[in-house]
Amino acid sequence: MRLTDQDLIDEIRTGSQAAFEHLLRRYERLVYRIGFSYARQTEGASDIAQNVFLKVHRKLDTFHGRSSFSSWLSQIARNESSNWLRCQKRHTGHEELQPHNTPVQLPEQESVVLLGEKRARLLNEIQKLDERQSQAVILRYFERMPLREIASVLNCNENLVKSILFRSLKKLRKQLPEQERWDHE
Amino acid sequence: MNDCRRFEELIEKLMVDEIVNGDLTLLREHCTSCKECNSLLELHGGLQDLGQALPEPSTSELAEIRQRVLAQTARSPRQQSVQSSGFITDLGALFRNHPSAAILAAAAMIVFAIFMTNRPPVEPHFDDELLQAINSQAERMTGLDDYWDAPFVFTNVTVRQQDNGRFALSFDANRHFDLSTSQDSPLAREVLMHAIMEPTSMGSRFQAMAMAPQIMDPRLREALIFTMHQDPSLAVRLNSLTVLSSFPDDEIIQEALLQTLKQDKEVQMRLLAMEHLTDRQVAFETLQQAVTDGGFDADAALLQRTTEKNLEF
Repeated sequence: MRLTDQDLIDEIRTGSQAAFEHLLRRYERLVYRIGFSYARQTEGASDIAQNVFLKVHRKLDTFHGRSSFSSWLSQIARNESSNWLRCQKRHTGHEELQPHNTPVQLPEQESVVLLGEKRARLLNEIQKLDERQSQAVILRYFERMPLREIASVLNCNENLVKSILFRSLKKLRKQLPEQERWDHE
Repeated sequence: MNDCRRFEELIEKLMVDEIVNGDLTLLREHCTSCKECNSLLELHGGLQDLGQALPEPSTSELAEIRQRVLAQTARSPRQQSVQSSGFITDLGALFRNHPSAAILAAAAMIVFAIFMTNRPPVEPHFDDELLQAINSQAERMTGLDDYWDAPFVFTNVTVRQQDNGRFALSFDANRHFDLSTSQDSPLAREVLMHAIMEPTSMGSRFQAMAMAPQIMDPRLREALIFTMHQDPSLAVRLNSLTVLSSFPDDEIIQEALLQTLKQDKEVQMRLLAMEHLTDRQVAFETLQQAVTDGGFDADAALLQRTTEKNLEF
């Protein structure tokens, strides 16, 4: 019988390392993908995933089951990814140079190799959206989250999510040169 | 172009899987002859494609992550949050064997309760670990960006002003809190900001907006500007605009009002923004440019009003 997330969490709370490993295996791909969508490189995604699971292990007592575990985990993964990006900014000295709200430009080579130039460019442009817009796009297109869950994560109503998503689409269109919009690879 | 507005709504539905088949066919037909809508449809496809193309980690990569995490968690095993069952069992046995101990304990609890009731209010961060963490986080926050990144998700947020000038805060953040705090506390500003953005209750948003000017700071200003630009309710957006307009010398607010004049789809909002901007004596050409840039239907009337206001000055 498949153990539910809550079963595993209860086990972990009693100190079971095996249950924690089970939960880790269940969600490691999801967390890695969220990490990659921010970091755009495999090493960064691995670091983010590691930090996320360490945090989950430490903070599990603060999870009270009001949202689904996957929503809670995704929220931690996104926070951790944002922190990782901020750290990169500090290390690369971009922080002082970038105007407020401008995401740091990381080397794109790895994402270009992995995704192809156009997709990497699109991923890059998603990061230039404001935080809420990029979150909505990531949740919808990368995590395939339903509207109701996105609204709960973004703490707003479903109509606002729709409008955020549509505005993001329009903004992306504006950001991308015309010849890069049409055909996919 | 009016047609496009209808098809844009269909694209919005498509993005969240709410479009029905017949509408999808209509949309596709429209897109064959409309470059603008087609570009949005293609981009939606591009995003779906990107979502599918994001790399899956290799088995060895995952194994490595797992190994690192498990090694660290094994070194620092989780601490049990509650380890009181043994103590409670012992206490039960004590009370059964010595009923006088139970009476003494009950008396001590009553005295303690009376003491706690008469105690002066204590600032929240001294007596609750979670509140302390939220308060510390609030102290570090500097802008609306931090709001999106906040590790605590606030729901059911309301703020009321008490007779003694303090703020009564009520909110859920992992669990529910009801407390009274001074207006100066970072927590008061934090909760007020969340109340302004509270999606479920328009009443809470109105109440919070009315209190914001008392402790206005850059974060609350950002929250109000966000609400003025993004709130789905026109009434809330209008109210937010009015609150912001009570700070006549603030250039950031002025810029936000110009954005409203340019972008808000409701003519009432654009008109009110224009009235306040004219009161601030913003150059007529700037207002005219903003109205023209917006490209909305009621531009002519708005331009007319802008001209009239300008002449009044």
